[in-house]
Amino acid sequence: MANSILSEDQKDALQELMNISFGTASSIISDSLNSFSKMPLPNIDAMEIEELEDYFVKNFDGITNCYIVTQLFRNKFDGESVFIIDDVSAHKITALLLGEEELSKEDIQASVLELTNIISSACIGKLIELLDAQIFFNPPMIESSCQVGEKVLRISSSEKREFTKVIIIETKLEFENEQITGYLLFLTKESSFEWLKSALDRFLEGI
Amino acid sequence: MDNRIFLNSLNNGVIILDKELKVIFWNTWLEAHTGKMFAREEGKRLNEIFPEVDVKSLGRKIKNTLLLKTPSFIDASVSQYLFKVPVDKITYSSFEYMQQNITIAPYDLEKEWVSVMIYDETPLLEMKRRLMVMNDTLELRVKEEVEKNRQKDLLLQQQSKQAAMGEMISAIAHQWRQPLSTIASLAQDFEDAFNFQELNKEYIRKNTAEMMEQIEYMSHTIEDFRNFFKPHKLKNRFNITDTIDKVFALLSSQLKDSAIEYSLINRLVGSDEVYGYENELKQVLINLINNARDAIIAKLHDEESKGSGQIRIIVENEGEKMIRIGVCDNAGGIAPQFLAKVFDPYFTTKPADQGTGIGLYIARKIVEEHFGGELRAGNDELGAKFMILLPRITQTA
Repeated sequence: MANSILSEDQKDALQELMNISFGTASSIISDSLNSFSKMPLPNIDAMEIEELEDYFVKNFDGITNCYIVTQLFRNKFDGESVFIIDDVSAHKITALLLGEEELSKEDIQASVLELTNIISSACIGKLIELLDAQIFFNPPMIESSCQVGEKVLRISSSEKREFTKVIIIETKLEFENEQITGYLLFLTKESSFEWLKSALDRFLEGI
Repeated sequence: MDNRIFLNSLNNGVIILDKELKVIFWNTWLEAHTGKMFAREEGKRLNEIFPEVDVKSLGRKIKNTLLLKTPSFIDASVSQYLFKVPVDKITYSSFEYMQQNITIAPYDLEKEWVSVMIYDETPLLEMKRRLMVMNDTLELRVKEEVEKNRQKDLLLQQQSKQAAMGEMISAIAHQWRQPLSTIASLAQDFEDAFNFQELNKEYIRKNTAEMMEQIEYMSHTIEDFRNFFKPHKLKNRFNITDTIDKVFALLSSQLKDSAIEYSLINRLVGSDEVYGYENELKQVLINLINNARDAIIAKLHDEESKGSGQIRIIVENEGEKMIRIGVCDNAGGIAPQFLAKVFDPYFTTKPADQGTGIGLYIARKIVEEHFGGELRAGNDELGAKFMILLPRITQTA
């Protein structure tokens, strides 16, 4: 499905850029948590927004409650990032961050916001470099105990249809005994996506 | 810091911090809201000025902001505030401290300074909190109203049943008047017969048999009324024409006493079976017949033309799946302005001591909710015509 909207070369270029971002994010997270963590190379996929529902049906089978953080970014590269993490993973990361086991809902929400900030900033930061443009971020919003299916359905059936393309970055954080999985989605408008594609082409030419 | 004039003109708080959390600058918004002058706090660590600051978390965010060169955020709805600023408000606020949305952005990467921007979200979160409370109470109020309506319906049903009982007792009195008077006269006959020396075995046998016949009739009447009030626990299939016959039998004395002729006209082709609680349908029919009787009495009394009252019940087919039962009288009909209101609870055109206004309301509820049918009010050329439409049981059902 990715092939139809990103060429193999463009996808490789994006993968390479995101690998660098993840390296940065991983070191920041390790530092924040005072614990060794690594982030395996992320799986990257790009698709039309209509395909999102099927993707989630396949990947989120059995996961019910999630934390979802959404954040708008504005300028030439216009879009919305959506970070989805299941409540078990959210609980684990908060326990590691605060060094406590008894956690309030607010503790978990604050930690998920912080984690999202690190991962999405690292990824978007790299895209900003690539696109040589300044991007403005809106403050993120968090929804807890969301049903992923409902949220995704809302995204993919949006009547606005401004956001037509989705870049999915599957993130994993591995600790000694724990594995934490989250999904980062960049929903972009058609024009922004075309702009990203040409920037990836320029990046490829420059290698 | 050559942009102080601009930063001081902003309508939100700005603090410039180094990565050790030392205050490089803060704007007049902060001075106005905290009462702490920048000149006195410059160079101090933020947590020395505000001990409640979470040094670990803020330090981490500043470090990440400088590393990633992108802003970090603290959400007021999750973390409430970075430091305490009492809500200085005369009118009520449910928050003790200002709810702050915080954006930490790189300010000077070389010097490793960040700007901490503070936005007062208290009014918005106050509104959100009130909406949540309203939502909760709304749900509760809807529940309460639904329960109130249910109770009201129960009360109406009970009142309707009591009214029906009252009418039934009156009907029993009518039914018994004739046999009681027969028994009384037969009892008196015994004394006369004895005085005239006519009292023999045959006389006693004949009189006793006649009295027993009347007593048996009265006993049957009681049994019929008892059946009417006995609550049926299960729905049953029953024949509509039999039910109408039973209702006429219950009310026959009253109708005859009021000089009202009654008839059942059966034009139905096919089954006359319906499914439901038979007694409930009897209650509906009794209510419609009594209304017709009252209307006839009122009209005949006015016009002094006693003897011409008529109540007809016509049973017909309504399409293939329904039975139409028309209850018609010749009392001139319902005034057009009342036609739309006759099924409203407590609406009555009868004198206050005669009508409660709940009979038709309950009758329609029974027909619609318990039988899945319809009850309509209208007029024909002679008088009022109430139509009961009921789903019929077809032979194949």
